[in-house]
Amino acid sequence: MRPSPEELLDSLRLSLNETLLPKVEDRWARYVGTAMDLVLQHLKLRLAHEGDVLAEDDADMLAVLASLGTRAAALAEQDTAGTAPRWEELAGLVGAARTAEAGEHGATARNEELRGVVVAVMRWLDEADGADPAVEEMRDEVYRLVRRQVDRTRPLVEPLFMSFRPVAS
Amino acid sequence: MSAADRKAAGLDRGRVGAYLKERLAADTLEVTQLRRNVGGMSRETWFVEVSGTRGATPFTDALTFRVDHPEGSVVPVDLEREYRVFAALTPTEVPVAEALWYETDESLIGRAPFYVRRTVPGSASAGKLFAPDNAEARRRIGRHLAERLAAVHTLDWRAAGLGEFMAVPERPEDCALLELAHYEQAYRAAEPEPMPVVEALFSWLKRNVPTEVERVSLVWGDVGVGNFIYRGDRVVALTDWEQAHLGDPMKDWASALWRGADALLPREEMFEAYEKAGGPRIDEERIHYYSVFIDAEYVCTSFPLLSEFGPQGVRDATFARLGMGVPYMCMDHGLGAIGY
Repeated sequence: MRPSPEELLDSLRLSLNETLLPKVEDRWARYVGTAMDLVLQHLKLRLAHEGDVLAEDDADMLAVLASLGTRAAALAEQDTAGTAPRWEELAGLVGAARTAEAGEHGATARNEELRGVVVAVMRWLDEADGADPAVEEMRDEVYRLVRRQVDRTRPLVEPLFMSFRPVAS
Repeated sequence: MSAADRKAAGLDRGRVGAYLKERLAADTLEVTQLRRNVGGMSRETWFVEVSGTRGATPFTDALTFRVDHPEGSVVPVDLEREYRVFAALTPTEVPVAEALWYETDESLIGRAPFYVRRTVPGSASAGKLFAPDNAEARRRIGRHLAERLAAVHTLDWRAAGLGEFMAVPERPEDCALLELAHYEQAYRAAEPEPMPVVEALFSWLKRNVPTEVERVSLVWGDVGVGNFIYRGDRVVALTDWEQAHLGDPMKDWASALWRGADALLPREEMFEAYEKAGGPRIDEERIHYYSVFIDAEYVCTSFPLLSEFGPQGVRDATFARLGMGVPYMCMDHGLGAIGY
């Protein structure tokens, strides 16, 4: 169907900025109008890129979780004394991500499910903190994943960023 | 919240006038101005100017009303606590707007609870302050702000009664951990989508909590340009006390720098003025810690707004912008500050 969603969003922004906002004198109403414009900018970016971002994010999380799972399983086998962290628990947590069927849910739900597994892994690592040098190495791997996630999301949400630093009028 | 359930936004000039006529014991009273503040989003702030007579004597007054948004407060701190902070500070050397009264009766102006304080003449505008020809005044204000901060941090908070309703840290670690627990609880109560980056910030803050603090102080909680009133080159009132608590004074420096107070005066000069005014010794390491803390705190106060979007309704676009713009920005910044 035409116009495309992107073109319709541009149309809304045009009306807002060139027809409505110049006639609004109330400061609060202008503030709300500006927020609407920023949300529309965000929506346009999200419509264009969110699908790709989610797919890339899912693949990245699955790769990192698989790597952690492999390492946890190997560490569990090496630990004959039973003094190390319960690596098999970590391997089990990570396994939950692998067994979830891709495509079973919507893309957002699938991504949130995987992020939920990452959060569970992070909490496990916090509980095991200090018990083994491998914990810190794994945390570093997860935090580097988190940085990539933030970098992926940033272009979509950047129009909404709000500086708290003072600016001259 | 559905549109049908949403309470009428705003304040009604007629009801406010009738209420103030009674409350100020006036014989006649007219609301000459009723204006909503643009800026601070934690609650609604309304400026009300009145003129009237008592007997044959004319008077004018300028008051500030603070009321939660119809959907509730953005910060996880109730309005009465905020009022109590102002009331406790009113008689002290920390300059704040005079707290007048707190009301719980919705029939009075159609909104409740709310509280009223006397408006302090002056400006909070960053725009005016950062006008190109105002550099010297900015420097003097920056110095005075540092001195005011020293007064906050050396206040005898027990004598002021703040310990009666604020959590008192018993160990140095509690200065951060009590507040962190409070904000983390507010974040989790909103049942946000899983956010590994937020977990990373919480985790780092718990694993790196400062174990020494020079003194437990009143912490203003939200220090920055826009959150104080200035007149000429003097800081005449400190505002935005909703996140005040007892804790590490370095948190306020982290807040001040996070919000760019060093655009007023270079940080070293601000620190020097602060210590000269009797403020506790500056500790850059703890300031760095609390810089990350502030990122997490903003995530916790703003991100839960998004939980109110769903099948039951939506909120105003300003809240969509606030609920996404502030947290995602802070997640990015905080993660960078912890080395990722």
